[in-house]
Amino acid sequence: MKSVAASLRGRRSRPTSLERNNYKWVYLFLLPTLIVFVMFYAAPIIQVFLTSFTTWNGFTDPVFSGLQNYVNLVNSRGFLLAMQNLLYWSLLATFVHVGFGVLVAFVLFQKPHGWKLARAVFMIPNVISAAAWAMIYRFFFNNDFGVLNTVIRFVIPDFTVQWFYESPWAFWAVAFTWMFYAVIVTLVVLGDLMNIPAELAEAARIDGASGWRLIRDIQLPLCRSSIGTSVIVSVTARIAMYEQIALTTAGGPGNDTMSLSIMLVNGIMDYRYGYANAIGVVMFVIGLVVLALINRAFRMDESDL
Amino acid sequence: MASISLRNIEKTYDNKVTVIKDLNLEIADKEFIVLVGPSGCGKSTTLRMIAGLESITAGDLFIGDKRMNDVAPKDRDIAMVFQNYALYPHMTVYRNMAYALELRRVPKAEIRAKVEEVAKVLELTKFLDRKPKELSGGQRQRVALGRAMVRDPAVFLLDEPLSNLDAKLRTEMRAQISALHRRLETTFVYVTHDQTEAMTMGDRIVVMRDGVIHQVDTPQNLFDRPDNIFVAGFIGSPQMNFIDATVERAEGGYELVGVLGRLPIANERLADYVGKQVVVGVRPEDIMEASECPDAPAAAVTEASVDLSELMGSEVYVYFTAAERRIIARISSRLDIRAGDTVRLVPDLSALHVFDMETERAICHGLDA
Repeated sequence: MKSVAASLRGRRSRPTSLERNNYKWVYLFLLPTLIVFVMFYAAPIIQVFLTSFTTWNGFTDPVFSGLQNYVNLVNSRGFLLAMQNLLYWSLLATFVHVGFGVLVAFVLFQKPHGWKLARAVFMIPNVISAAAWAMIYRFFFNNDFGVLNTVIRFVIPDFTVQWFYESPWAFWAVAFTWMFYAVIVTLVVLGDLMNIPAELAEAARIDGASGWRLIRDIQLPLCRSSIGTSVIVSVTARIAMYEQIALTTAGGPGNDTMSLSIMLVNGIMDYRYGYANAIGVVMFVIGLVVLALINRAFRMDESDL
Repeated sequence: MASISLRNIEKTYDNKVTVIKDLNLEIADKEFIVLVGPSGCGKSTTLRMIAGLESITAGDLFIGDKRMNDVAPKDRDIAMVFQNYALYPHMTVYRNMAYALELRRVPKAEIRAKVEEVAKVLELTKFLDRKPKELSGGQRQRVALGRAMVRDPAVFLLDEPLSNLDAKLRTEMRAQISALHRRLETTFVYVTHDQTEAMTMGDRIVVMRDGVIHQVDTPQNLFDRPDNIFVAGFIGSPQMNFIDATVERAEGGYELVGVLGRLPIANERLADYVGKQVVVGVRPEDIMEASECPDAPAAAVTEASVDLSELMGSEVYVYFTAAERRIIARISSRLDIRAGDTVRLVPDLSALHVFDMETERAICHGLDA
């Protein structure tokens, strides 16, 4: 089977009869996956793409309307803010969310007392659904009985801010619901860190690298692919983010925390399926572009090892 | 340039497991010293303590005349070559070699000159822009050496640097490292479990077992005058034969009476052992076919049936059993000895080693006389 594997990796030489015989089996075994992929993945995506060029309320037949949905989307009140929010949230995801996860990974890597417990505790938010988590944050940020304002009022007795309902705080309050829950980043990066041969760190110590230089020159570069993966996961999660907004601000105040996902669901609620699917296509394209950019930035297809 | 002095060094892990016990060793400036022993004997730990990668539980380590126990590895003026090379995989060959100098804030032009000079010596010039994964094992090994060389360290520490290479390359690199030592005129401390490397490269060899030094000596002395049974058995291939014998007084000296017959030996150190059991060591190459040695006394000739013979080219390893002891002889292949043959064998009486059965220490060597 080795020759088949080599052929599938893109070797250009003409397949031998043995290899051609093997292809039959390769495709046979691929068939179930292909069927599932086409039925549940490719077909819906194509349908979304096609109907995005129609006016469709979900009941009557879609009517072709060209780029009208896209024009409407770009001209809609929320669109620019949604794109701006996506950009800022993505930056926060890349630098604060992933950065924090990486920081925790490096701290845990030093194996401080109780690091295994810390790792487990850090995991807890991940087993709670995003929806439940958003609700918890509604209470946390509540002006009247929320933990945050109660604590602040110990210092400033008259303090009052409706975090989720006032500009510009709502943007940040939504960001806080996910910004520091980076346990996946931590686990992935910690895995990479632990895979660095001990001899490398020793060689670096003898070379004279310690502390920050060791991290910057040796450990961080060797965690490149796990950090890149983390950035991809975190940024794409920002594109798809829905519950954290819907259950806290629903895009408000005004359009302060508007996102494409909220606009998409609003479109469905208004029976504007064609319009909603146009938003879906935009999200899909943004996702692909982001994936390609991050892949290139982190040279994800290359390995040094 | 520096001598190294290890005084009463001890290493204990977690206050429980002692791996190095009261180790004393003086390594001269510019010496090539090899630490050798079976795995787990503490040779790597000793090297890592010199490097500063392991803390020293007790005792003093001096490099030059400075006590180094609490000095950081980078400030010990040492360089180390690791078994797995430990090259930085994400850096080019150039940067791998330049990195230590970068950290020392050496001017860029100076770094370039130094790296290029070393790369030339090691024939790495055309690989400078490559990453380690694009190099062969031997090339990576040379980069690891180069990384050590650019720093002009006072001491080179090498931890089994050749064990990941194939046999042919290992022989080549062995010669290269020896040449490098002569060229650099620096102290080399070299750890290996391979006695061939130890014998061919070391000015002196330190044989260790269970965290204790068993003998420190030149390769020749280690081979000719092993201090104890462990060293005698460890150095030399195939291993030295050990035979129990009783010391008896005889005309003109003593006789060692055992399965190899009556072996006359004249050495007064055996006086205390008359009537006692000792262990006699004979190297396989010191056992000859009787026809090759017509002067041998008849009583020293043993007749034996050959269990197995291995043709190695110019010689044959002949395995035979005498009084339930397996004995190996290395005999010229011209004699054409096969399994099942009966051979008459005689040990070279001037190359016997006699050991105390209790302490396992050497009593005398045939060469002493």
